[in-house]
Amino acid sequence: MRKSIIVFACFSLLLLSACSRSDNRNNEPSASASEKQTPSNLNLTGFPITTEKITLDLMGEKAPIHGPWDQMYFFQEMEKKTNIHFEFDTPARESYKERKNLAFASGEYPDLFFGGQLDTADEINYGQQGILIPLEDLIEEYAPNLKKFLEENPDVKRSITTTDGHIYALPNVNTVPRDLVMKPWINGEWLANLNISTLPATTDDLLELLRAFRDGDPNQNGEKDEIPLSAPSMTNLRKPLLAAFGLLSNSIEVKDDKIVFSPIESNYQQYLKYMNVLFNEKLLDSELFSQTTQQFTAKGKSDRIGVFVHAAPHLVLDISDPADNAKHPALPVLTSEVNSEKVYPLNSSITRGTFAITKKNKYPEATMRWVDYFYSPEGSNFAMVGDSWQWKDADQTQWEFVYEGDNKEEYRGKIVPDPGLPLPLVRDNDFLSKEYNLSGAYLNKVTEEQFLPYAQTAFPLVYFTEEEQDRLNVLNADITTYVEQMEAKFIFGQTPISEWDNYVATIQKMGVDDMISIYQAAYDRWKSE
Amino acid sequence: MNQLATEASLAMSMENRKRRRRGRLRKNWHLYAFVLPTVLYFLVFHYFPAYGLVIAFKNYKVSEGIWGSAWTGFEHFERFFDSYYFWDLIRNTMGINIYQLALFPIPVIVALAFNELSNGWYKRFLQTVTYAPHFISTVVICGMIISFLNPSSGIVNQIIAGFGGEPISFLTEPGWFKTIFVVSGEWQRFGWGAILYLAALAGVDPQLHEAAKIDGATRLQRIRNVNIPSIMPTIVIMFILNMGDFMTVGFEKIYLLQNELNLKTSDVIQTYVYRSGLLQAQYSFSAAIGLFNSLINLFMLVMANRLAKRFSQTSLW
Amino acid sequence: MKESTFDRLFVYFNHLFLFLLLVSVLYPLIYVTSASISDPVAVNAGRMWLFPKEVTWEGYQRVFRDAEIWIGYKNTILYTLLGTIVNLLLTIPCAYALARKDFAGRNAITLFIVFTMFFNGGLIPTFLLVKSLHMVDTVWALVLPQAAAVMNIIVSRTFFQMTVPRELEEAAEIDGCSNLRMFVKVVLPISGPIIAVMALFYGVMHWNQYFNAMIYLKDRDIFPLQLFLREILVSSEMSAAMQTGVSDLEAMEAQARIAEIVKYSVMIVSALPLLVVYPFLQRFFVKGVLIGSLKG
Repeated sequence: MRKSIIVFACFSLLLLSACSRSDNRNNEPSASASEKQTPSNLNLTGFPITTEKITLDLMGEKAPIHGPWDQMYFFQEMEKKTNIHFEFDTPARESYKERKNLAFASGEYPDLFFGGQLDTADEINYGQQGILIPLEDLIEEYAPNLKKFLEENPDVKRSITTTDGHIYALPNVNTVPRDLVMKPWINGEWLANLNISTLPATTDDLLELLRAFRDGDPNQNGEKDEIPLSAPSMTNLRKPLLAAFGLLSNSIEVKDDKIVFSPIESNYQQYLKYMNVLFNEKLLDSELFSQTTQQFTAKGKSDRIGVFVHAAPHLVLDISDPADNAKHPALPVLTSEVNSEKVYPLNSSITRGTFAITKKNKYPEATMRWVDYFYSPEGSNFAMVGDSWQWKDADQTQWEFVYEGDNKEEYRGKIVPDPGLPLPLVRDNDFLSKEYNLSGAYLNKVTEEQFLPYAQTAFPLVYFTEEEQDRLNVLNADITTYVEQMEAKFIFGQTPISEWDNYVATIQKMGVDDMISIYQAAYDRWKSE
Repeated sequence: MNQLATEASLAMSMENRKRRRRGRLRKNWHLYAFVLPTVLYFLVFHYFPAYGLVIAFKNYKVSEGIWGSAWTGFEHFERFFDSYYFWDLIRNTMGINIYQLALFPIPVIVALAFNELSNGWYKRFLQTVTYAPHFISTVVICGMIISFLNPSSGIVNQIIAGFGGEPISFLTEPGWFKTIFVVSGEWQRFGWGAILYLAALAGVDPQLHEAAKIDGATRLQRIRNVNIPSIMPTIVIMFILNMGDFMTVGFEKIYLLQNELNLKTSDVIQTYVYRSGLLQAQYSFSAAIGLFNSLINLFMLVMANRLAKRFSQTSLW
Repeated sequence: MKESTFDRLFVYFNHLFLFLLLVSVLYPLIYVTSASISDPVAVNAGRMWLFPKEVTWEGYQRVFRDAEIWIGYKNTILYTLLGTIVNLLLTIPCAYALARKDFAGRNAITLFIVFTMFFNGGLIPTFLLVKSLHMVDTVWALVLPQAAAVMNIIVSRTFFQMTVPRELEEAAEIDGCSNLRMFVKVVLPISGPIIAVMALFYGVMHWNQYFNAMIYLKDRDIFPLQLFLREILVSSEMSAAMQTGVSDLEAMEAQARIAEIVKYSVMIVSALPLLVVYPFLQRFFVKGVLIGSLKG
């Protein structure tokens, strides 16, 4: 066994000597030279990645829509292509976090995490301990695609470089427009039924539209069962409405490099007052806080909802042909009496912690080459759709996903790990925009034209130090709960708005200033990097 | 003379007792063998991992290990006591448990009622049906509660409207939360809870009933004088064990029924821990709160046991 | 013997009481059953309130189409049987010994056991223990860490205290009967009800158990049923917070749709075997059992 490895190593060294000769001639001190030496089994370019099959332990989160990973076309094809075989440990979503922690705690961690959902504390703690290895040098040498991408996108690089200057985990980057903002929609049929042609531009206009929806029987069933404004949760609903009052979040946001805590700003008070008016006039769904997402959707499918905040109209309204999404306009970005500038919250396009290599891994170079493939358009698309697609026309302007069974996403979940899980890759916008998909193009267009010009992120992706994180954990728990509880009580009138000063005082007593200064420090660090 | 005799008999009885104890040990070694595997089990799987409790006094980081993490003393406890929500949490957790204890007799009554039926398909059917809700998952139960109580379409509010009442928004009215939670829980459990008492009733000596019948006792009298005393030890034991859960409330169901508007009455220690730990795996903080709960639970159980010992013949020890 | 008027009245009232209980429980059960074959939109919109609306069998078809469900059934039956046997072996003899008044140290041992209700070292030390015993990814990880439950031991002990008459033990002692023989020949035969109840309690616990499997098992071939069912189901409300990072709205939608369709059928599929078993266990609860005859 050992003999064969040595023989093999000599053989591959011979093969690779052409590539490494120039490096070796420079002759640095021997220690770093031995580190830099190309591993015997590795091909520096092309496929397979290793000349002989290697086996690695892989841990990743199995999304509910996934089939078993070892049976996925994606992994089977990648193995054939690269000569890298995986032993899978894929806990389901509800237990993943626990299992990941146990893996670290017991020392039974895998060779690599793929779709690993590591959080920033994992990156920092295990990175500094040396359990996760720093990836910069590996990227430099073995990941041409990712290297190029990070050079072109320094903001992404900033957001994945931890406080000690190392990169321990790789991100998912998604700039598909429709995924970048959560949009409000207006039921287009109701507009048509009431002969309304101008869309609201201010909060007052919206109030008027909602009143019309309440009183005009827009669903024409003769019953007063319309719910003018609803959403599956406050998380969705507050986005467009806070934005109308100039706020991007219900927590921390950056205003001219200064951190503010939005829920104690005076514009936030205006937002509460406005929402309370909506509630009092029965324009707001009275079950907003108590319904399940499914009950919300069921109302939409029964044609009872006028304005709603959700990813797409066909996910709420009874639309059988996705092309009909275009019948329902987006609610424009609003302004209000206290805010004349149009703003809208932008989702982060980066998901961190999707991939990492541990110190157990004997083939970090090969592993890096393997993952780098997904940062190329070809590899990214392979992880998205496998080979289950074909061009629809000779000019290759449109392609179509080919699937069996009745649901595309379900089929996709059986062949590739992309659905429902952020993977280490950059989504190929160019290719994805060519998909023959009736709703996708419309959603992209609406986002690009009506929202992206005004969209901003509330707060960038930063890393906190361990002490900062510990303190934030303590502060966040009570403050967040209190803010959301009081938001609901103010809106539903359980607490009168005259209590505002008490509310602000309570938040201050909970230590919001501490929280702001921690965020400020982290932001300043991020900014200066 | 007299004294001598007493001394002699005292010495004899001492000697006897010693001998008896030795004899008992020899005679009862089978009984020790009965107990041994179970004791071993508790030793290995419960006492041994108990060293994990120290993380309540540490700032446990998975990366540093249990022994390697830094000591924090009572910091986590203080954080909990200082929480804005602390008193709400205590009040709600205890309130729900007191409410549940008030409904404690229901499974007993159900079991006594079942016991009066003659054996047959109806009894079997009835028992199977009442036992079934135990197997409805929490998610589904909560989905049903939310839709039954819906202000517009829910069956409960339709009945209220049928009687000319105003619909009630049960789930956003803080005042209703505990009732919804406890009553639905009891509904799900009473059939299951009755099983134990049914088994206890199966152990009642039929001769007692025969004798009572001959004395002309009515059914109700026989329940009161024969059945209830016979299953009293089980009832007492179950009550004591319940007290040992005093600070515990099932997390998942509360979480699914909770919303910002009923938080004032629905927030319990377990949901608070979940929320606080959501951002990071805060093992130490939850361990500290767990320990706090356990101490109160232990205290309640010891008190209940002491009371039981005084007022009835049954007790845990 | 003729029943008195009072007794007859009592019986009527008893029937009425139980009938009301039956109705209160039956309604939701019918609701669940109907919902399992109704269109989820009709259920969520409140249009279905008793009988199925817009009937569809898709939920059941989906559940049974999945080959892994059958693996899960097989494994769960095995784990339940094995686990319950271990539980009974550790519970019944121990409880009997603790019930014996002449058993020195019974209080200390009871305390020793009860005390474990009030602390646990947490997940990590337990995991490390199971790992060092080489039980990770084996059946034993599901059986041994839950080999006995405090409550069940205490309840069984109470049963023995109540039902095994002292005279019986004394008689056996005088006959020179060993404790082991007496336990097997005398105690076990009259313990039908408690063994049945314990088998039921432990069996149901194993049947519904998923947490340990989730933590200790990696190999899908040995997953129990509940793990597969939870994978399809994953309560959409509970995971909502985690889904913010998931960009693909269509995947989320498809997942939510499947979860809705199978929500009720999954429950029936997993609970039905337990409902079927119960009537068989019930015959052990029949009044009187053997005590009377033994005494007489």
